Amino acid sequence: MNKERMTHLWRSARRRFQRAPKRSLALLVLAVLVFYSVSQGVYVVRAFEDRHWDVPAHVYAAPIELYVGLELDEETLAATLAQTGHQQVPVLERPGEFSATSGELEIWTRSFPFWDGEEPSRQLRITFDRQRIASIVDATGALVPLVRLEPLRVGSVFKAHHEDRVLIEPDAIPPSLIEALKAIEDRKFDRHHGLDFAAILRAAIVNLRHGEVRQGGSTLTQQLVKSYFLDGRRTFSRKFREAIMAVALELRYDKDVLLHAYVNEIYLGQQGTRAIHGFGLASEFYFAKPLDRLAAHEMALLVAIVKGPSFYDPRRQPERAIERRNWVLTTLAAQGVLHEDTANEAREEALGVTARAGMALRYQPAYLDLVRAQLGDDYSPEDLATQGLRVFTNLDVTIQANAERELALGLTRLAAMPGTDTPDPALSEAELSESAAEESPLEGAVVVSRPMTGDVVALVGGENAAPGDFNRALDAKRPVGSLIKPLVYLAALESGEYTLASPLRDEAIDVDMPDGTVWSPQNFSLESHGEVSFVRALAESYNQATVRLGLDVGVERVAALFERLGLDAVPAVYPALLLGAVELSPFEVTQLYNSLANGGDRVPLRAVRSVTDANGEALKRYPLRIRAAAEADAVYQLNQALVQAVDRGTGRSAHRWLPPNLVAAGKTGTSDDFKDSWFAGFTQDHLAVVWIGRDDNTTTGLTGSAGALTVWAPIVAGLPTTASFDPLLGDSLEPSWVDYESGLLTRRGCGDAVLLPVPPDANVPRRACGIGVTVRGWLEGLGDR
Amino acid sequence: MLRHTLLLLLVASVSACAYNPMLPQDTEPQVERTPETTGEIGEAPSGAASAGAMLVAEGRAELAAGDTGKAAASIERALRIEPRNSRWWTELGNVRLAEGDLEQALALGRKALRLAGGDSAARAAAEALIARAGGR
Repeated sequence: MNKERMTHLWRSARRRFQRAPKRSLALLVLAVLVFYSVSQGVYVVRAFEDRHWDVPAHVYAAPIELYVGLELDEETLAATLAQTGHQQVPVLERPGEFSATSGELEIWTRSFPFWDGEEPSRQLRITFDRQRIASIVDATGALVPLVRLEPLRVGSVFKAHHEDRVLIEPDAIPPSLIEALKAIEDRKFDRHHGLDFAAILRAAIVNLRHGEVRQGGSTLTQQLVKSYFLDGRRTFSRKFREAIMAVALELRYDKDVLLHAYVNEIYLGQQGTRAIHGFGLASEFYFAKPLDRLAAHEMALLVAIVKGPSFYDPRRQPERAIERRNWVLTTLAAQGVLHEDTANEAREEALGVTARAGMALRYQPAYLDLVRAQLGDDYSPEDLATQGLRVFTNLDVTIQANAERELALGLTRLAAMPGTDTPDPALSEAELSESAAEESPLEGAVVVSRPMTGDVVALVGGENAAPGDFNRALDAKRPVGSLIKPLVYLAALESGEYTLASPLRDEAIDVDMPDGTVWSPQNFSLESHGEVSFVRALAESYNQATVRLGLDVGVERVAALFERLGLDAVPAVYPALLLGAVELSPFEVTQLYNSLANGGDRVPLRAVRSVTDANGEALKRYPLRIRAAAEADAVYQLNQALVQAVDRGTGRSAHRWLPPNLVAAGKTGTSDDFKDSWFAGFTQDHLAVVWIGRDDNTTTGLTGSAGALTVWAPIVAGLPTTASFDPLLGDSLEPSWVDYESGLLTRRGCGDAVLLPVPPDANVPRRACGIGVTVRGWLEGLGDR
Repeated sequence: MLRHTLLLLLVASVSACAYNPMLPQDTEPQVERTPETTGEIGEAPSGAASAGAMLVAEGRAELAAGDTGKAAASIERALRIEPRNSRWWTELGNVRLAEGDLEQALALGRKALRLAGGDSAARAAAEALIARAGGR
């Protein structure tokens, strides 16, 4: 193009503009509009592309494994199957179904690609005998030694924005939901190009007639755009932008792609600061069950809520919600989407929402935090959010649900107890209620592991778990109090200078501190107990005896045990460490105690077993690795003292909940001013650690036994297998009858005799046994708390 | 077919010394020495190998085929079912030994030895592993 021609064009344009300024202005406006529309369209398509085609990593709970001899009765199995996505039916017709008749259970398993190969779909008959599986037989009559069921998906790892979803795959969207959404929200969805002008007009008329906003004219696509890209303000320019974007999406994508995005995106509720997006999460949030298991009246309620999740909040506005739900049912029937009879029956149903949100098995944000932390070493957040990885974890949904429930119940129980808050008597009643409102509530955290394999099977980060919430199990670092004492006693046993029978002095002690002050620790009862046995000093958690023992053994040896038993950081070496002046998270405490429960072998706590790519190819395994961290015989002796702590020491109230004769080992912990209440304890197969405290670090008024123990014990009592803690005795120890109070060797039935492991060369003095000894020992056994 | 027969043979050989969870456990005071493994097959239903034994047999086959990762995963599954079975710890140690990880092999062997209790065959297997891993 030459210069002359350019000049000519420019001149003629200017002439035309001068001649018809109005037309040119219109053209200019049109050009700007077109440019704006195209740019908005490109923006929305790009943004949609960016989000929509990411496939997040899916996280699975541990699969249920069934085998002959497994301790499990028919009812428990049926209940577990129902909870984990299997349907109970009279006669099996498809995979995922089971039927139960007395003493027998039939199941048609689904196939599933595990990290080590595909588990086939099979029809199986399971028989039971005395609370155990007696046989598993397949359709050909062959015995099946082991069956692994399809694991429950418990969450997905999204990019930050998408954090909180229960993603529904395109082929898993219930057709009834699609039908209902079209019928209620967008009748012309299949035909329009993003906008429905007739609906806009109709809505305007309806709204005018009723004097309120009854109908929106927005198509599903417009609603999707609004939820994805725009804030909630209703201005004309927003509406305009929304319309352009909707048309752009419609031009670029098929209807089912948009529907899929809609189902996973639309806003359906609120829990505090947490927004509930998508039908998958909403189904768990309102009904605690998966979307494909909802009945007609439940599905209708979700569709009814779309219009205004807070206006029609079924928990807060049940009348409004039920009215709109019934209108939805009537409309569906009128449009022929739902059978008239079904609609009539559904209208009779109650709303059916759960009283509280957040108890859903398929939704485990706290455990997912741990999964992300463990995977973070090997995968970038980008890969986790986009590559469709499959993450197989050790989460046991039954234990997790049990731990959540018991923590919630325990916190409610404890909050109602007098003495858990200590109001200032000078305050007036009005001031009191004000201070109670400002006070941060009692909170708690739970971690449950399997000591021998280091599997983390449950993790509760607080009473109400929501993603992004403060995860107390992982991140609340609190003083551990007496939980530290087993490390002091372990260091002493390892030194070879002490046995469980050694006499310790529980007497006042003044420790000169480097800063010139004097530290004079007191016992909880403010009394000293004189000479006591090693085992009793630990079981009854005597502070003065512990400080004397720790100073004799060396604080640095106690501190060194932190690293040896599996923690990264070594605490500062100063005497107050001996009474637990060190801050640890419940998860870190679990790591320490896991090494104790595992007989001194350290196993890294693992949430993730294995990761595969989207096609099931194994990418990474997290293998079981052990290291002998502490001397096995010393740990054995220590654990027997911890058995005494639960049996008769500070943990003895656990037996109100525990099955009779169950042997458990454990330790209470209480920090200064009752700010933190701890209990860590184990049976043969499980270790559970419970913390209770307040987020603002004010007092709870609870000791470890009055607080955390009352949550720990019901959790342990509710475990699927509760085998007594029963480790094998090492070669260099001998079971001996020891007088609990003095530590002198004695014989069975004489005084307060307990059977304890003692090295044969320990040279413990023997005590004479007379009737006086027996009675005195017995009386003293009743003494301290 | 040949693979299946081999696998069955392996199952049989492993289950001959499997710990059977159905056998009643000794419930004496907890400080008594109670052998965890029994060395006999017990009352398992006819023809059915124990789940743990089957998994360990699979693990052995995978180890023989050179896939130590898969072998270890199979044996870990057995360990989740019977965490106190000394033999399964020895088996896992054998996989680590094959990988050249002597430190793990030794740690697993010592664990197996502590769990063997009075089961002399389990004890011998654990001791053999420890010796091969360079321990005493």
